[in-house]
Amino acid sequence: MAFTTRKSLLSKIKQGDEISWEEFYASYRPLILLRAGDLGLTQTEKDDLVQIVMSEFFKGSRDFQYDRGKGRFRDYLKSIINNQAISILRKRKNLEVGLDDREFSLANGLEQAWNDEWQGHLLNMAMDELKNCVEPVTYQAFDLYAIQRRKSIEVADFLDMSVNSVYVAKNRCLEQLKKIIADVSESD
Amino acid sequence: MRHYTTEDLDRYRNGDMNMLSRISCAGHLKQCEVCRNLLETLKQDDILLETVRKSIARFHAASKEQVKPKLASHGNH
Repeated sequence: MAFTTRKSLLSKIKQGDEISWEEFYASYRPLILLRAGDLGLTQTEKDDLVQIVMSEFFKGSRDFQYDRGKGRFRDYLKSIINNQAISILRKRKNLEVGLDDREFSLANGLEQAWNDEWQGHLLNMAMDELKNCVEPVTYQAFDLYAIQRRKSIEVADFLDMSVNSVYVAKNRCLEQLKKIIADVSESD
Repeated sequence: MRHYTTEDLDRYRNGDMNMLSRISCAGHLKQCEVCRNLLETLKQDDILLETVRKSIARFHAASKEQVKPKLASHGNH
């Protein structure tokens, strides 16, 4: 099995390494969009929120380093997203009744929704990391059988391996995935 | 006592064992706590995988959402 030397994005953030705009955008745009949806933003407002949050982090530069003095990254990210979402909602305050109630909800964090989105984000990052930790054919067998739910015999035929090898690949990837999940969970 | 491997139990629960092997495995599981625990671990893994599948689908859909043109040029500082 080939193990990666590439640091996960969360590890880089935690250790204050430089993060590129492209890497951050690819990893965090879906999370910001999902959070924006939870907060009731329209599609246009969601796009605005992504751009504003990215600007908050990068401030015109291609790279940024997270200052660990700001506390846990997930909390810092949430506060930026929430604050900017409230700003966007305030812009349409005169257009909509009941915004104060929504602001109240935002102030209270929609905590469970954020925790769910964050956990989903971690799982997606863990899956990306997994690709770098195992042989391509092992990952492919895992993806086809365990993620896409193809039948083991079909995967075995397609990849020219035994059914037992498909199960070996699945279990090897699962064990590695659990380790990665534990690692990124510690890093958040 | 010989214990079943993780892959053996995957074959057992997915119907990839022949009838005699399946009967033998079922008998073993009644007597062997180690193998029952391993089978339970596989069921817990199924729950994790279901969570991963849902998460991938949700984030994949979000990543495919349309982007306004002004955002596309943002990375070219």
